[in-house]
Amino acid sequence: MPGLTGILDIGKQALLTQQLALQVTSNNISNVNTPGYSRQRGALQERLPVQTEAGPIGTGVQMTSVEAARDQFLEARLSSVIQTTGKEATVTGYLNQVQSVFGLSQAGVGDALSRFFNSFSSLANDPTSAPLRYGVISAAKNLAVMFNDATKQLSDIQQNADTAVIDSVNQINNLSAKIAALNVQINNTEAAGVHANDLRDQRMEAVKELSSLADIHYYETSDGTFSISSAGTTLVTADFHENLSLTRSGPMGFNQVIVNGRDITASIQNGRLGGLLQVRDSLVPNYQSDLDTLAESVIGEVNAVHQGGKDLQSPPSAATLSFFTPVAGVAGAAQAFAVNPAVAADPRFVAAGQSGAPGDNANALALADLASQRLMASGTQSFTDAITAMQARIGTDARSSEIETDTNNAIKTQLENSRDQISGVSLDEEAIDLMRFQKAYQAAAKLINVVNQLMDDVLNIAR
Amino acid sequence: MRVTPSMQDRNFLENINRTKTRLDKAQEQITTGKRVNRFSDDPFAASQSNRIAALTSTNDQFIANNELLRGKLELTDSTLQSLIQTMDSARTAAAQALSGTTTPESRAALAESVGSARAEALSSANAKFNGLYLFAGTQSTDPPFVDSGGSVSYMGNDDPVYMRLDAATVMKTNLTNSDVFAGPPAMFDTLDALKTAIQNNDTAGIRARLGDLETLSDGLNTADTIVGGNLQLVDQVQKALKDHNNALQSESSRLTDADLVKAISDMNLANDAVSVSLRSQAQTQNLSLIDMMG
Repeated sequence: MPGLTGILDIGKQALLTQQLALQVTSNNISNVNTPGYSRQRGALQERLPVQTEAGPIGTGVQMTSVEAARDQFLEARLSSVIQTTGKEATVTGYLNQVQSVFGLSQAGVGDALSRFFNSFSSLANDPTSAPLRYGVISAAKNLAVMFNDATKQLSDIQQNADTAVIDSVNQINNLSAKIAALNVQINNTEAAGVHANDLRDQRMEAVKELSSLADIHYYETSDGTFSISSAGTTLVTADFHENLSLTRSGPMGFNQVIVNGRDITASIQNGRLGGLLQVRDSLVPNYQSDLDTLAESVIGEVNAVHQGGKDLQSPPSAATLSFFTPVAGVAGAAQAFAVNPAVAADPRFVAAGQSGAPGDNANALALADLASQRLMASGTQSFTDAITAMQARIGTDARSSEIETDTNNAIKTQLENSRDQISGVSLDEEAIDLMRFQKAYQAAAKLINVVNQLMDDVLNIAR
Repeated sequence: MRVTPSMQDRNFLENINRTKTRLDKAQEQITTGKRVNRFSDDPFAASQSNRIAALTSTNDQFIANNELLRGKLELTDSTLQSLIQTMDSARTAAAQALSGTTTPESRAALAESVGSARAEALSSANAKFNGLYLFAGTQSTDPPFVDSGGSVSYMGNDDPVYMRLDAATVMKTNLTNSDVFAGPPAMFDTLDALKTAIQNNDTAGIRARLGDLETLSDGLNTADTIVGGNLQLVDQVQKALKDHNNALQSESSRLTDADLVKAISDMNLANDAVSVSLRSQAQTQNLSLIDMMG
């Protein structure tokens, strides 16, 4: 459409296009703090030219599409780092609780054990002394409380982790459903030939949140939908999502993660859920088993020596009582750790001697000597060594997960910065765009004004 | 490079958090005086320091035991000393009885003095420490030497009583009848026989008993030397235990105590860093071209 109306049309298109561009810019500015937002750019293009006798002449500008700036490779790396961070941060949190159970304070199992064996050493000074015998009973009861408390606190930590597993699985299911729904919307929107930028941003945010919960892999299919799998099982594909379910099993009745009738608990290694499962099924059970092994060994060794002695009853009992209530095996020994109630009620049942004479302290000395003997780990560790080894193990686990958390957080920040370099909104850039499009808009308005004057001039010729 | 506000904010937060963590750590070290406050701060040092605490606690118990044992050995020593004096006074009486100038009255007086020496010896033989009889073996709750029908019989046993002085040393801590009194010659039989011999002016008998008393004195001196040696050993062990505890204490300090000078300078550095970065952030936050637009 050549002629003045053509120029007027060019002016109109220019006004509209610069206005659209200003709209995209203002959308960017308003989303400067929106998490996951990818900055958008209006793609400007020349309109098709018209033929004139001078050859083809352009007919102005148009905006063909609005595109978001994003790097899918960076997003994928970010998702994988978020998975590790989610796991390590969870493990660190729980191990800090475990550390406080075996604290550095003077009130742990280790200290109680020292005081228990010291009480026998003290009894050797005067095996006939009732106060010293009560001292032995009181130190033994204190040791029992320490074992019982420590094991109780460890199971509480496991229980807390188990409860958190339920929350995590619910969140995973909600996010899978959300992503499947977004898949449908994106597919519908893009089928109409436009970029579903904001929906894609929302979906990426959901994928990141899902990454913080479990180890997932995702890829984009040719129709723009995401397929997500976890532990070898498809969670989301197109509009379909698979719910994880929970079933309680095992001796502690912990929640196992089931999908399609298959137990995938052991395959979940990452994300918050992976961290929770590691704490619940691997780390804490290790410490629990260390504690039980120690408890069982203390009970067994003390009882064996104790029953080889003679108590202070008159005459000495034919069969010396066991000092601690015997346990059937290692599992649950720390929980069952208790002073034999008969001995606790009457300290004369404490066998300090071996001959039956009241001043005989041989057995008290033998019991005190147990503290320094290497009775654990195939004769390589004393009780104190075993506790020290257990504490070192907890400390090392906690330390390495702290370091992992710090490292992964640093990598995550780095990747988020890299992502921002591409996708983030720079206010300077937007300010320049604002000025650019404002100037262009003003120029287009001026153009229309000029055409208007020209048209007036043309009309005036005829007057 | 494109720099976006969210990037600036994230970097600022990350840095300020890192610095505040350092500040927090330094403050914790200053307030607790410890570099290691949980196992993960330094797993090796933390577990070592717990092992040291266990060793120190065992040593403290040994030290307390040894203090008591020292009292027992000192009492044994002084009891043996008084027994030696008792034997000496009996020997003096025997020597006077042999002087050839005795009268029936003076012999009766000498016999009487031997009788009181026997009573002193019996009292020493039933000496008690901390409620337990010293020379009763392990039958230490009842008096071991009982005078019935003019003769003293031993009701205790000869079982040794051991104590552990430290991780390496075990000591026999008691003397019994066989070590001190049973002989041969038996102490109370000798004194009884001496009294009878003096009463009967049986010079051959007195002379024989005088020899026995010398043997007994020698035996007592030997026993006392052993007790004295044991006392010295206890003192040596005590000193070693206290030295060991001091060494353990300084090792534990080395492992876990905070270097306060370093902690305070760390804290000041971190504090300065926090305040400077807060101020700079306040000045530059969201400084952008938008602010310059009219």
